Amino acid sequence: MQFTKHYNETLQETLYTAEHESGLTIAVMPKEGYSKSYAVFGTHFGSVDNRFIPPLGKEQIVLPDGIAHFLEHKMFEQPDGSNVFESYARHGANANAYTSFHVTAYLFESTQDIAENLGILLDFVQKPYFTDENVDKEQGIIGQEIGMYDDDPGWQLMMSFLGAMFSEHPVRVDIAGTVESIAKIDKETLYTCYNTFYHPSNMCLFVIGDVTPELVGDCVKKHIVNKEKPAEEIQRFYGNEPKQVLQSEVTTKLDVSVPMFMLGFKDPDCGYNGKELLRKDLELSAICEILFGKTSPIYTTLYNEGYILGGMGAETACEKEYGYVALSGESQDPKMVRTIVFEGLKKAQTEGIKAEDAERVLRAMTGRYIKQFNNLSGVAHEYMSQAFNGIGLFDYAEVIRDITVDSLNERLRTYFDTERSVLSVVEPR
Amino acid sequence: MKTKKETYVIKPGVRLHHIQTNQFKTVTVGLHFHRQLTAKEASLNALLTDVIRRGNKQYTDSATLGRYLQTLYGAYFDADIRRKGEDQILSFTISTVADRFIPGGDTCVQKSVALLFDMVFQPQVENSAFRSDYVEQEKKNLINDIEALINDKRSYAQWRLIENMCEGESYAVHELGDVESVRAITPESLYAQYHKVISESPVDVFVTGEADIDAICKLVTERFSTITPLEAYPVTDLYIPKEGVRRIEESFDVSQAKLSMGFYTGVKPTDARYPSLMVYNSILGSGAHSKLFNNVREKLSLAYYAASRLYRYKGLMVIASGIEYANRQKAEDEIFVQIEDMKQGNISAYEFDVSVKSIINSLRSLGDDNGYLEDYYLGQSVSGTNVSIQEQCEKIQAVTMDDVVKVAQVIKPEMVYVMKGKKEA
Repeated sequence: MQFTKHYNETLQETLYTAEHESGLTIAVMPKEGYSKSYAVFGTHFGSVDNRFIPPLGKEQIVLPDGIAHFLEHKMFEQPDGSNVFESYARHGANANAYTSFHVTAYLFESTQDIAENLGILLDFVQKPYFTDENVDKEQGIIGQEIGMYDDDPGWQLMMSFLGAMFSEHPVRVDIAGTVESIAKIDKETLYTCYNTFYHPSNMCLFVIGDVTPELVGDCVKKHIVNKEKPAEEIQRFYGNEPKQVLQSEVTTKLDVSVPMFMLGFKDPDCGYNGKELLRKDLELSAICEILFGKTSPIYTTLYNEGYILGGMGAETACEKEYGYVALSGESQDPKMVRTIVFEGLKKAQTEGIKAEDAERVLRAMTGRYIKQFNNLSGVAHEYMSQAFNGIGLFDYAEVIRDITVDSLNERLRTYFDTERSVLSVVEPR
Repeated sequence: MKTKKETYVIKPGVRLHHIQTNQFKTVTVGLHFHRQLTAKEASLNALLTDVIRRGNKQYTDSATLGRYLQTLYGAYFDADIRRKGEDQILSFTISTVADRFIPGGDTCVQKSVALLFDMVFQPQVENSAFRSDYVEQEKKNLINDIEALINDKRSYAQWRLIENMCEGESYAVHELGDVESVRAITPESLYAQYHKVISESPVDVFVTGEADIDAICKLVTERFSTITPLEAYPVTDLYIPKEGVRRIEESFDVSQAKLSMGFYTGVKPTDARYPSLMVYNSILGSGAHSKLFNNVREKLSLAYYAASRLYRYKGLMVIASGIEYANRQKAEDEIFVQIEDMKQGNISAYEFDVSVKSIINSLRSLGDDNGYLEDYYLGQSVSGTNVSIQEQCEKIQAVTMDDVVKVAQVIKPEMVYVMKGKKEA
């Protein structure tokens, strides 16, 4: 296994990448001066991937909502009854796992015994052990977890938002599923998912910190069992999502002191990944900062007139199959926020973004990109969330250099349409 | 390069700390003013950071300031309140990309440091008062923040426990203050408080990363040349244990109940037993290796989370868990079983060993985050311990099983707090 070395001038960082014979993608970033190492082993399998045809399969399989997350919990069950957390703890590591809409990832961080800990990580994720009994027990634990999300206003705000924006795409469904949907999960469905999505060729390993590519390469050679690449790709189905939104307004009632809002625009232009997708993401981030950030007239009006309390955040979601831009915050009058945002947006679309604003914001974004590499876990998560979209850690610096005020204005005019907007509000009961 | 910390005493009550390391992309500078936490001052201090954040004489509003920060490659300025025991700290920080990453040999670090000091020392003042529009807006925001504390039930259930346990003490004062006191603040009273904070408070200045420390030293000396602050840090009184175990149950709009339990430890960071208490806490409830995690959550499925945490300055420990209301007694009983086990010395070599490793891992990890690193040393200043991360690791490694069992004997339950759903009878 041969590592390729990539040096990035802007960051003064080196990344080593390789592909194992099994098809596993490996990336290693040594960080001088750091005591910690952070490793993530992730599969391109998230909550949205429950309709698919496995390699060499004939028929589409549809599985219960929440199965990726359920499987994540169950991976910690081992055939020999050993406790994964215990094995890690013996080597001073902290371990965790998470499931997002697109990725399931297993991770650890430690300041010692990196080879041993990597071995534990690679081993346990390759050893599924599902029984009727342990599946049963998990239904109770995850039921509790779902209960916790039910009380989380921020999460409910977002899920209502996604549910209103999308009519077909499974991103509208909660990552953990529901108590009813997880009740349908059994050991057979778990093995089907495991065998389809946990093949090394559908996975990435990223390690950053006090580590060398040689060490990681040796661990992979020693611990990856399945060395054969599958004959075909997995086919995934996400429904036929229309360009328009399902509902332009949605209100949820929860125990909050002030109404929370999320106001977003649906992406009308999907279907591609890689640098083109990254470029869209960065252009939208720049536009959001110019139009809705602290330096903008819209933000200033909202804040000074008291329509938003404490501030307003902007986020972009750019995936191959769907995307949106959303503003969120707290307000006594979310509809007025929407009116002011729409008016400001229309004005900006007519007048255009100024070159000096674009230049300044792009410079700030470059600075923040550099800063991001202080944070091992941040870099690791960034890598994992982008790797399956065909975007590399170092692409950012190159793509941002290509962005101009004209490309921003073009994006501003084509992307944002008030007809494709959703206002989600969580109100006090 | 190994991280090294140098401290320069500029004058009594003004200390400059340089955490030297080249591992970060950034240079962070923090200016921290220490105040004794009191009901009278808490809201004023909290509001003060919010108003100062809005702008200064030169950059008069958020938009102008924001644009300047963007030209400094996205430098980040923030003003907030930190709390360490009964020390309410007004913290002003700026974080900027280190000069070696700036294309064309431009420099941002010195400009950022200058901006930080200008934000704090050159606010917008008219007739001995802050701008009334900013004061009014930030009062509204602060009231909202205080009222929003209830939104995060997990931490709110712990706060309600602390508030009840320490009723009547300044420890029960929230670091954001209270709604009524915020309402009473005027632009004049806020400016009077500003004057007090600047001229009286002991100050720590932290520089983390690669910077020209001589230039910063000069700047700090100049800024504080006419100021004579107090020398001593605010003091946190140890919690005094009460008779028996008090119980409180409250209803909120939650579907998952919270069980929070407060314990007296009597051990402060300056206490020789403090490292033993850290190991005790780790074995009991800090992480996936702990007794609470493995018994209350994993073995008996009584909670989605169950963890213990030290409130070190006050000599307290809190166990927090999320439970089904119907299981509250079972969960409580099981937690007491684990506390008793610790007292009896029923601790396996595995539990002891991995707890020590886990603390050392956490301590060493602090060094990889510039914010945590600064906050660690700020905490050392406040507690007067001044122990480096390396020394702290050594102290933890020196702890024996006997030490842990000894410290287990002083742990005394003080209060059981249950936050239940409204539909529970």
